[in-house]
Amino acid sequence: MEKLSDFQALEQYRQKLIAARDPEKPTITVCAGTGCKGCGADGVVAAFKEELAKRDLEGKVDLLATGCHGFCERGTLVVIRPQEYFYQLVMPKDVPEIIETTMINGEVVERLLYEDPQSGEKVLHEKDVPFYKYQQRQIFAYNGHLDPTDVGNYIALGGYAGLAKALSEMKPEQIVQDVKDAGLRGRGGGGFPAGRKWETVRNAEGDPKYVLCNADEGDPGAYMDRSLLEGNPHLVIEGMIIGAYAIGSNHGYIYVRNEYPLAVQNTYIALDQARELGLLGENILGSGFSFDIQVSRGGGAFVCGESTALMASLEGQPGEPRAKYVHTAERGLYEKPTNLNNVETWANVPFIVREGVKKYRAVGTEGSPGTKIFSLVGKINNTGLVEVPMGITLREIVEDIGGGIPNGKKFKAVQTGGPSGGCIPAEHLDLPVDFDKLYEVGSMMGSGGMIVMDENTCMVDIARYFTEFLSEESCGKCAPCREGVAQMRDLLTDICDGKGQEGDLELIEDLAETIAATSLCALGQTAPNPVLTTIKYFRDEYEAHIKEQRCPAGVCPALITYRIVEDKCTACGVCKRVCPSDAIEGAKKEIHKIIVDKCIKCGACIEACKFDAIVKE
Amino acid sequence: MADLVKITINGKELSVPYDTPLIEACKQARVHVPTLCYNENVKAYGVCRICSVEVNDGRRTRIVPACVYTVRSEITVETDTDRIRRYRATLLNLQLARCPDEKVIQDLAAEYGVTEPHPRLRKEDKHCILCGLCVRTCAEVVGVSAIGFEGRGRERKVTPPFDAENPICIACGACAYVCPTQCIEFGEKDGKRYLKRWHREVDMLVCDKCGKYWLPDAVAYVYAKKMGLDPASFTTCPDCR
Amino acid sequence: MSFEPATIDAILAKYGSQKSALIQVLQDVQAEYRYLPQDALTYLSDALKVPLSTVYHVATFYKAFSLKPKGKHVISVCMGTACHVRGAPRILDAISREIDVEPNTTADDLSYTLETVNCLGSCALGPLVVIDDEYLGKATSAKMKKALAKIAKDEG
Repeated sequence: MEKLSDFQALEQYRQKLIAARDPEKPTITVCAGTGCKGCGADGVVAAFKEELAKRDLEGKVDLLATGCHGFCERGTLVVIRPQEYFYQLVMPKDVPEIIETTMINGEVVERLLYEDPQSGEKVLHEKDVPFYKYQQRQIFAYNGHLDPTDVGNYIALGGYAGLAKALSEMKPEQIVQDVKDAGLRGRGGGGFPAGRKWETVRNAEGDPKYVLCNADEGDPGAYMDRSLLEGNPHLVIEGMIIGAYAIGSNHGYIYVRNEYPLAVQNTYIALDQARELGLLGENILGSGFSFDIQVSRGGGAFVCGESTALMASLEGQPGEPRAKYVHTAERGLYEKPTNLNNVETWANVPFIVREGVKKYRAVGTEGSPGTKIFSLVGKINNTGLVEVPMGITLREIVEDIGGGIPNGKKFKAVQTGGPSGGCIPAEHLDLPVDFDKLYEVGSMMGSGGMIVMDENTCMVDIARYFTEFLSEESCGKCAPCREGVAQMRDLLTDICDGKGQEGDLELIEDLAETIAATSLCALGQTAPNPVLTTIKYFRDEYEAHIKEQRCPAGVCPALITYRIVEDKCTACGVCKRVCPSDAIEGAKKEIHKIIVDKCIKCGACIEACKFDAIVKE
Repeated sequence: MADLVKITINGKELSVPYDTPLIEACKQARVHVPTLCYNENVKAYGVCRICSVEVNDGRRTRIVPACVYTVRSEITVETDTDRIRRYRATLLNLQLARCPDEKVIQDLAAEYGVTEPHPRLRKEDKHCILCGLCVRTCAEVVGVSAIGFEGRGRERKVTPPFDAENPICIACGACAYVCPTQCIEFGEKDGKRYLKRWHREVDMLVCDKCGKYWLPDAVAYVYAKKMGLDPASFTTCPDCR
Repeated sequence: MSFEPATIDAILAKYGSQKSALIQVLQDVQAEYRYLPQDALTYLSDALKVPLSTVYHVATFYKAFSLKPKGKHVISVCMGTACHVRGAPRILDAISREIDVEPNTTADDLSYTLETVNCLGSCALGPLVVIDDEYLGKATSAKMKKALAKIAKDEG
């Protein structure tokens, strides 16, 4: 690829790429994000390659391995264009049929279509699948349309036009003002107005200034940033270059979790290609502005998602946070003015610059303009990544997009904001989702993880889980977090084990108040949130555990017993065979019984029983 | 900026230079703020959180540790409100649960009405409160960084690397002196100086005049190097020079 | 010595021997030797002019690093929230029982390392288990038994 010397060269290159494509040319798009790879996407891509070669169709049909399409529950996802036929749960063995039936005969493979669980109707087009129908894919728009390892794809779709406009037509101060007016709020969790941060860094004293991308995404259950970096890294890079220009920085870093190898790989490739084209590096597009980005991998520490810990890690230090009474915008990386934004925040920038503030604000709410990508996971039918306008209700997300709770169970709560957030119960399902509304009910937006829970989720166990997570991830520097969160975890573990005592909840609440008020960083300060919200909305569950040694949801192993229902048992013996602790007795043709004292509540028998004859109570 | 900023601490008005640590400003106002991890001779670390105080900057009131927070605007500070006392009591409860036998914790806790840790808190038998004073002193004052932290979270400890004797430790004992709980056992025996916690044992130089043990050889070596002196110049003890 | 100076020098050169690259350097060393040898850390401390106590803190602070050799087969069980809600703890117990290795430890004969990971970002596949870089989604104790049996068989 030749270096693009100026803006015209970029436009010419873009036109050239567009002209080289026939929009009607049949294209098979396979999702090859990490999620679908786990479902065998690599095998599907290989099968398509093989079959296309076999049928001599290589020149006539394009095969595109893209980033994450979002509907992870139904991987491997394949979209046939230009018809936009949506095939789900595709396996390598389905490939020859797809080629024969769809690519050659122009017909549809019915059994691979999405079937609406309510109506039983098959859905033909991607945009009509309920999961996608109610979304507004602005940031994720091109994830299913481009090969992340080919910058030409991104440019052909309009990529880097925002950058060209910024560098050729706009002054840095104007860009900062636009981002302020657009009301872009940090998508990493804090929701802080990005434009205001940019302005502070721009005006701060100190040189050089740094522009950072926080791709540490540690919230368990959240993987939006992974999918953005894997699927459309150039969108994020473009945003960063625009931001650097606006702020007056020539040095950038993308700090990525070590646990995202594909995102790291695709980011490296994207940066190399951007440099090759002159979109990154010295004298970008002949503008005189120079900026480059380095990738830094995390070492495996949730706390490094915290800004000062992230910067310490970039400096080669242990990821320990420090006081922020002087903001990192003034004294950050190497004590210099630093602008840190989340991956998704950066991804919003090109749109704002290219399309303008008004168009950006046309979506979302007054206080939270734009869209938000959520990872909808847990006890939900349609698991995956959803991009919705701010202001949509929880009910719409859970029911319309998520397709409700599987196995006929009832919705109990949704956890937002990860370990720093809180549980929101059914009574708030009609809450419009935006930064401020979520704070009002005691939770927070966080990075976008939305974990749905049903009647078989124990809220005490959830609180214990989050507290355990935070205790493990605590850097250990300050006493309230290190000692206090661990003590809360021990108390919650006692409660889950039936060893809770009267007064435990009061002690937890007291510890919570001190931990929230005196911890050094946001990890400790927000650690009490999951406990406090679950106590607030599900106190009766806690009391059942403490006063009656009972787990209403049937989860806490110490408080439940497994029992074989006599009139359902067929004496098939399968459960006895899989039991790891010899806790099931019963001769052939005899109703089997569980020896309660030997049972370790591992669940292997329930998994194995084909007659639903084993219950937890 | 050497500009003075007007602030109020517990009702007392005073002016302090811009960027003065709040705990120093309190000293100036003769207001005592308790602390476990602060020492004015090393960089403030802000980990015990006992020095937490209420600061009102005109827009809102925040709880901040006085040792790391610096004065940059006209603030009103309260160091001993009911809320602060409650937080300190809980923090000391937690410290006591970790180090029940340490007198300095017991004494401070007693001032806040805590005589023993809450019965439902898990008790340990530690002596180190992870204040980091030893680490900071070794790094900043002595300049060798022979000890540091290991791990994170509940597993966090102060050790020499690999929890093994570190030859760059000069056995000066500064860490032992600065430790608030005196948990770094430090002494001399049979011509050797030892720091038990760091598994460190150093030979003492013998005075060529009076035959007494007088200085760890490691100290002599390091200072000879730093000052460009002949190590032999340390072979005579101060009394005999 | 448990390492080749030339190998470490090459890694250092890749990052310009910058102090700030310590974590990246350690990751490459870990990938090369499957752990961080003690003498390698001392070597790095000298090369980067970073106090050994700092190198040691970094090596023990981050989960990616191990001061003890890892097992031949590394099994990572995701304990993220979505996986947790779908039963990850029971899967962890099942695997632990099957190979007789405690979570977050390595077998004495270095055959297996069983570790927990806090979210790999494949939440739709939960419970997720990764065995030797292969992602096994929608894990059940039965599936795990099968996968482990296959490894044992291949080992002969």
